[in-house]
Amino acid sequence: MKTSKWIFVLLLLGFITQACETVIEVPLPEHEPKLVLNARLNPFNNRMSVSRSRGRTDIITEEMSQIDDATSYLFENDILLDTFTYYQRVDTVYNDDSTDFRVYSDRFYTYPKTPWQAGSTYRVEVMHPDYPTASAETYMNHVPTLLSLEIEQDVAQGKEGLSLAGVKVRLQDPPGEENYFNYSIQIKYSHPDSLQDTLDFLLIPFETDGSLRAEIEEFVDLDDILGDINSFWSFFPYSSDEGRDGQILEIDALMYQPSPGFSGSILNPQNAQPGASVPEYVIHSAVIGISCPSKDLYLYQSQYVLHRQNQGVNLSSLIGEPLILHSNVENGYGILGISNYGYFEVTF
Amino acid sequence: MKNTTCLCVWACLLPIFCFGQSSITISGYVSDQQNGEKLLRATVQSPDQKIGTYTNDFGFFSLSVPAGTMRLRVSYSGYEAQSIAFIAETDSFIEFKLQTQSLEAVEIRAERQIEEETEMSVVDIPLRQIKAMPTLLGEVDVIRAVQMMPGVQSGNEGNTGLYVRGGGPDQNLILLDGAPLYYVSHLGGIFSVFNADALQQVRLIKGGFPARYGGRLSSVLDIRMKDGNLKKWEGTGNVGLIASRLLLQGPLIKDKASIMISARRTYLDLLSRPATWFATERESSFGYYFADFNAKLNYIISPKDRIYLSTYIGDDVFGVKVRTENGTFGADDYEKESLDIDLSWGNRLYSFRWNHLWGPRLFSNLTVTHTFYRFALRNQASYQDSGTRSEADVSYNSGIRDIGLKYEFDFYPHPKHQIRFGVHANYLQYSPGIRGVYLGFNDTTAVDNNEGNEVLRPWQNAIYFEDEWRPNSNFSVHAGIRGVHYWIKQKSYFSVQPRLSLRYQAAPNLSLKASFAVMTQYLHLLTNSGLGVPSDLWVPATDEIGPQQAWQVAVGTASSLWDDKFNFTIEAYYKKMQGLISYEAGASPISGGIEWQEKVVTGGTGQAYGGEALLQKKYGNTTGWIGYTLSWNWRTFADLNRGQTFPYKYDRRHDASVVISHKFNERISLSGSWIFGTGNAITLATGAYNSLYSDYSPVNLIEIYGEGRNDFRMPAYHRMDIGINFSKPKKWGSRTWNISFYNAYSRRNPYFYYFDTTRSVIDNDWDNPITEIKLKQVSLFPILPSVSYGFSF
Repeated sequence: MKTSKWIFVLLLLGFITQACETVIEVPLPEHEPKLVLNARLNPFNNRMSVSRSRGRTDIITEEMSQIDDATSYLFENDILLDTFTYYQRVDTVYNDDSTDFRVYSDRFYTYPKTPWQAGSTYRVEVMHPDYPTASAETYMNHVPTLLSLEIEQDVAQGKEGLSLAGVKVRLQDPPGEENYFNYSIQIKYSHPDSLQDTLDFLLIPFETDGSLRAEIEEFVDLDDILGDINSFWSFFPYSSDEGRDGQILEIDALMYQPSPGFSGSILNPQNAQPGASVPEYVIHSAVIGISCPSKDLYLYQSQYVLHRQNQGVNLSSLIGEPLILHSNVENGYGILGISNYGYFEVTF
Repeated sequence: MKNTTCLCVWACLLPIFCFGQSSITISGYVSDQQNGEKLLRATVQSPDQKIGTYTNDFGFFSLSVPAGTMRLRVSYSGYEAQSIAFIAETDSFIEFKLQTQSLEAVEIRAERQIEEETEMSVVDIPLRQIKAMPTLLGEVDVIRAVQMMPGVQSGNEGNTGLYVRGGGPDQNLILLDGAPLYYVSHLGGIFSVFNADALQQVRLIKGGFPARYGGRLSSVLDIRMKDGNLKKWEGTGNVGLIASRLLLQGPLIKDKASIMISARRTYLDLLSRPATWFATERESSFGYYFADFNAKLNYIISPKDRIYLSTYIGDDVFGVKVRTENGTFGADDYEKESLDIDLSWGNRLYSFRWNHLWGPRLFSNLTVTHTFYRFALRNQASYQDSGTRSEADVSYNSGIRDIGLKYEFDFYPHPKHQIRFGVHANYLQYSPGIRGVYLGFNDTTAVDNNEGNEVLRPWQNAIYFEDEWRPNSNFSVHAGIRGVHYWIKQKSYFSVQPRLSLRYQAAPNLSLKASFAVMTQYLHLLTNSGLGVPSDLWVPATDEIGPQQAWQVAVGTASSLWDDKFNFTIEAYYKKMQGLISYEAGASPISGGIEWQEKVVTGGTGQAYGGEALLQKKYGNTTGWIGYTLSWNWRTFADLNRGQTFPYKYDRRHDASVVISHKFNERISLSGSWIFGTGNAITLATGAYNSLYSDYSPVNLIEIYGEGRNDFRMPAYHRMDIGINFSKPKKWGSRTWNISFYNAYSRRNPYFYYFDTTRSVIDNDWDNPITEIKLKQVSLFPILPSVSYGFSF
């Protein structure tokens, strides 16, 4: 009896030690596909992609989602301007065995002109026989006007010992609009040891009012800014004219200034020697570029930063809070965004 | 005007205080004759005068009666009632010692009936009933028993969190011998920290809170440890599949001082560490264990003074060790790596209590408590080759320290009044997360710093007054008020919290009850609302984020049925909460660098309402209960879900439980339980679309969430557990074999969901890889049989 008791216990122990955790597949409710419009219109870019939404667990290929036979209309202040036209680039690629296949890229709908007028409302309607008609509307803001720009070199030390320049910008905010903007400064400068007469550098100032600067330092480090400044532009935190509509916007900022650490390769190697007297940089002019997205695009971009943080195969994707990304598309998904740009050059 | 008000108050109180002039007071304690344990809430009645009272939380009673011949009857559930008759001429002090009833006699009505209690929404679960329930891996669990009561829900599979009447797990005041506990789980929530062997009483209050309790919105779980046997030494123990426990208690000085010591430890690590070490050829090992230690010292200094010293120490410890060494030391190919990951969390609780009798009508209790909850993660790594040596030491620590002082009085001025008043003071220290990083290279320090959330040190002080007034046998009122002052970072918060419970005896076995309570909580719990993966962060109210507040109203009936063998209650409640906080959309609890306050949305409101029914049988060969809850639970935040109201994660429309234990004879008993709950509400993406920046990779897909936050329901949760006990008397005491089947029909209840993404290439078409995404459900436990061996001597 005693032996059988222990056999019973051992059997139970064996049963227990099997893996407790089990994983099973769960079916999702069926998703009804809708049109997806994604457009970031601006004076240099009139592209809009049209695709279809899919179930969260559907197999994903580019071919399956793209829609190339939709009809797209563009309205300005409710007046029909024209239709978008579809464009795609087709490349023929040859295999080692001389066979070939086609690769499709740059597939988008485009409008041949850039008619965008600040203060106008633009609407896009996209029709397709298989999906409900989707439409989106957005407003193009005016750009703040530059009143003055001052740059003072060597006011502080930044990351990795690089020098920071102080930037004071005064802008006139367009009245009656909810404005968001960011800006970059392209400076033209020279250096006695440089092989070139003048050099260009695109920089993004850090505002010193606390919150915005903290955000920037959180989202990116210096290498991101220097290495991939164009793609970063879209995600750069925006300033707002909240509570300052129509007023003069005074911004105190810092920016990394040209220094040996920035472009050491073009400088005299002797400058890197201890105790060397390094000649100063001379700034000749600065071009300030101001980007003003529509409110919809601002909301979309600022939320997209959070969305990216919680994606991928990491713990954040499991415990990150769900985010319903802003959309201004009716009967569909995506974003119709429009940006205005302004450029002002200041000579020193 | 002020003078008139004072006069009115004095005129009302005068009859209460003047009563003592023409009466005598019988006071004393009620205790168990066998072990000297004080019996809480035992009934003391004078049948002739038709007046009565009941013992307080320390077994003390005081009853003022007219002088002359009188008879007193003392009763307590599970004990033989005791009656004495005597001539009362002066104040008397009596110690009643009750004897345990034989099993058959227990069927007789032997306690104060539920319809006679003024308080409502209170559940007492007898420890013997908890111990009779089926176990999980041989471990009896108090919290799992509480979760099966109506109005109480568990979170997920294996989660020992309590969700009471629409509240969150942070909204429960869990007291162990008067000291608050902040985290009551082992093994990620599968077991609770309470060792049932060491406990004397488990009492859950879901609404109509007496004013002496405060600081949480939704419930009070008041747990008392055993005082220790004052008469003789005895012990109980249990050997289970994953843990063993042992309790010893006995007199240090007979009838004067006793001690109770209890310990529990799991031993999976004792097997897993050597097994993994040898299985990996001495390269790595891992282990996990949890352990609890309870102790209580009880010393009767004099008939008027008694002290208690209690402690609870509990830890969970998880460790991974990896060691690799290749090549010959000193040679070019030499490499040595090591990695140590240590994760631990646990509670330290200390409580000192001093009971003092100032007179036959005034009892006081002074409590000094110290609770410390800590969470620590440490990751140490080193690498060495022929020319270099590098070290990294990364740690993360968080914790809560709570130092409290309570001075409380029970005053019995009149047989129709029992007055309680007191003051509470708490100093708290919250460390919501400190990260330490050390990096060294070739014996030089490259990085050595600490950063993280600011340590916060609030003060919380309270004063309360409550009176239980029984103007006649059909009507009673329990009214109270609590005032709280909370101070943090130069900011003060004040709150006044009225409490009221009413009872009207509508028929001999039926009473109607109503209650109203206002509660304020200076503590928040941040938890994610995504796919169900647990991630909790406790944070205090700060100068920027205010406290949570709630009011709750409840109405119901209580009755005793079928010769008083059954209690039956029906209650309906409505609770309104405000000042709630939540993670903002898109925030991740683990994204570094940003203080938690910058990731939250504030000013949320919540409302919960529903009805509960409970049919309970506490005594006899067959005991158990049937409970059912129908409830709704909503949250609204201006900055979440476009400002629209959404269901709370634990909005559970239907929740039902059945618990039955049957004792066939002295040797065999069988128990079973079944629980059912509507699935949790989660936010689940049902669709997706390309982003503006899409490169057609899943990372850039934007998810579609249907109707909004928490609009998707997980499948319903249901589970049946079965247990059988075989007991046998032995020369040295008795032993019990317990065989249990947790999740007897192996229901795959959801623990959490996740999207599983795989990319594959078909027919060597590398330019068109196919991405497959599947929604996967993780379930924790299939059927889990277990066996345990219990003994007592």
